[in-house]
Amino acid sequence: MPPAIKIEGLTKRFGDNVVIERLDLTIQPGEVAVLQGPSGVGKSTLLRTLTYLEPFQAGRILLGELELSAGMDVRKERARIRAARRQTGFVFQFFNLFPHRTVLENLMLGPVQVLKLPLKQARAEALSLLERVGLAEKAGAYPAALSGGQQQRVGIARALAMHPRTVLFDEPTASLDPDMKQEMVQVIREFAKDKLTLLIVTHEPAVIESIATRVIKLGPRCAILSDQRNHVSG
Amino acid sequence: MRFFPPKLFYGLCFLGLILSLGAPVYAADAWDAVRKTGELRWGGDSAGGAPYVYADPENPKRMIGFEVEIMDQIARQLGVKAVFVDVPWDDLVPALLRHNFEIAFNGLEITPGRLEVIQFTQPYYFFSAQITVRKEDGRMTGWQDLEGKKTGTLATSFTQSLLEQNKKIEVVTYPGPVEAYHDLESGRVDAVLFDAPMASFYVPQNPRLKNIGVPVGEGMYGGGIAKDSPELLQRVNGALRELIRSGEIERIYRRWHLWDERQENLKEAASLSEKSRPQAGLAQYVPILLQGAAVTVLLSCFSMALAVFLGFFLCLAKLYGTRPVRWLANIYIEVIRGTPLLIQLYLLYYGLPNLGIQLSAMTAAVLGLGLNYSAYEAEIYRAGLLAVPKGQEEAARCLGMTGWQTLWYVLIPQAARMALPPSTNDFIALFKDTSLVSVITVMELTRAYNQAATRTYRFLELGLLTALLYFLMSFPLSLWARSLEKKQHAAGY
Ligand SMILES: Nc1ncnc2c1ncn2[C@@H]1O[C@H](COP(=O)(O)OP(=O)(O)OP(=O)(O)O)[C@@H](O)[C@H]1O
Ligand SMILES: [Mg+2]
Repeated sequence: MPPAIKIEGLTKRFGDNVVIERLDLTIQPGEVAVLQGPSGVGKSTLLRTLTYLEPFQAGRILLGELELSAGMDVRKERARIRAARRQTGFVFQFFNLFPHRTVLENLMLGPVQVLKLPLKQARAEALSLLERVGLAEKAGAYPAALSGGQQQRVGIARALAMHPRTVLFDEPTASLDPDMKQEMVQVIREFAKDKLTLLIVTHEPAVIESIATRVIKLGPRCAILSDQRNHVSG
Repeated sequence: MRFFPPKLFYGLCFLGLILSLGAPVYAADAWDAVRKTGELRWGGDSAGGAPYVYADPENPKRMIGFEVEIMDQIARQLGVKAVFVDVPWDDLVPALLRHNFEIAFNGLEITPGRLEVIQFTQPYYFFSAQITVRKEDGRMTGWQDLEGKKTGTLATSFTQSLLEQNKKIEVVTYPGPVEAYHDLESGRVDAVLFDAPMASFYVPQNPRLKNIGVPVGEGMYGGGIAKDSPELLQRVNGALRELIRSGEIERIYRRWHLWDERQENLKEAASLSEKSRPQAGLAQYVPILLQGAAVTVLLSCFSMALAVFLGFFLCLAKLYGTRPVRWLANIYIEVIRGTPLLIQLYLLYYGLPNLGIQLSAMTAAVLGLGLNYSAYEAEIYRAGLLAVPKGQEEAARCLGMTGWQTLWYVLIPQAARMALPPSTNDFIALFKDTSLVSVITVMELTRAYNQAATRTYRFLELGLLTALLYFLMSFPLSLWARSLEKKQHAAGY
């Protein structure tokens, strides 16, 4: 089985600002890896390059069999980039739910438009996902009517509705109140049981202690300072 | 912001409508003056005015003539006194419009041209024109002989236009018959064409002149009344009908040797004029204005549809197009926004035919307004799209959506929400700008107003009514735009 994510010699600059310099990193399928590091070190940028939200200057990224490389012609490789994104979910710090769509529609939009699932099936799957994140009764609500924690749970469900192999989390609990963090941790733990690969940028101790199988500490220019296996307690 | 409740608003508007319809009119119906003063002033030209109106040779202070007698009878029917006002004949209509008298009653032919500026009573005499030549002039036998000859006639009269239809006739105009017959005698002109009543009065008195051929052409004399006086018109018509029905008018014409079989038509004309609805004043123009309002609404909707459609693609071209496409879209938008709509309309309607492209007025109007507003719409949509948070596009992209899917399912719905209030405001502006297309002959509300007002001279009341119509249509829209803005504010995106 190929690695879920294989990063080779990745370099990313914003002008003169070198954010990632020749990074090599491999994540195996089923791993729950936590990324840590001081603010501004480039954690978000790293996640964004993995789904090609940010192009990069050197190196390549393998997502399963799909290869994204620094020199590729974005116009010609559109389909490949979309395929990479389809199999890689992204959970944003600030949720980025679609405000003009109900919770259920937020979950169905991708499966229906991108995966071309029949409406009925997409709906059934979306409802069961909402059940799993404990928001079944909010299916018809608009995002604006939800609390931050509820919105983030919808964000996670939306990513999972696409049947991704890997899910990237960018500080999923950072913008939440303490007790909401707790329910988020529960949800992430729930999905970690599936054979998903998770890459989570977080400083949340509960996540690190009870969910993570691997903790990677990043320094300046995303240099790997430490990379430890973790024995999950829960 | 608070507004007074809609019920009250429409109540006020209704009140305004009633007031503007029934309000006392600043340029009152001439009948009011007649009733107040007890005098019906009528205008005519006594110089060479026989047998219509002229100074009695035995008592030059007294006016006689068949029109004097008819006017006396009309005044009596109306219970007032007829007062004669002497003006040069070709100044009759302008003097009437200056309110020098209430009715022009002096062989004034009913012509389409005059009907544009004044209204006429029902006809009181059917006339034809008579050619007169010198007695010894054997060349002249009829109408066909006038070609190539100098022919005199009355200035601004029906006979003048009759003569001018034949370009080969050299027309010489005179202020009255006396001068014309004099010039005929002295040889300055070869023939004279005047209304038959004049010819049959003057020519037999003059041994050196003769009438030739059969009377030509046919016309009607009517009393001229200003268009702002429907009431006076109605009353004078009533009096005239009475004179015709009672045979009084026939007695007058017979005394003046003017009765012929043509005048039998007077009775039919009388019954026709009775059937025709009396002028109802302002209320009569309400349907015309409403029709104009309907055209305005249609015009606005079609133009806006075009503007939205074009604006949408312009905006996409500007945001996502390749460099030359962006460049073209920019030039289009800047040129459209930097030139007056009026000029654009003129170019489309009057300019394009020079290139062989002939647009109907309505097409040119919709095209002009639509093209113009598309530039503004494009900018609104662009601002709307740019205002959608970046994270929305990223979230959509992360689901694997294509650019179009992202645009269609995520960005446009949110941008549309933001663009709706300014777009509605633009629609209101466009709605009012439709008044500009009146310059390219589209019969919309403003042009309907213009026509109604120039016919009735009631610029003020009709103007207020028209403004009210515009307002009644645009205000609900602007309320809607405001409530949209408020809702959007509440929704927070
Ligand atoms: N779009 C951008 N344009 C220019 N510079 C950027 C951009 N995005 C990020 N950066 C820069 O890249 C660096 C890394 O930013 P990034 O957001 O990845 O850090 P981070 O590790 O996620 O920090 P935090 O913990 O605060 O979220 C920062 O110096 C930032 O200024
Ligand atoms: Mg970050």
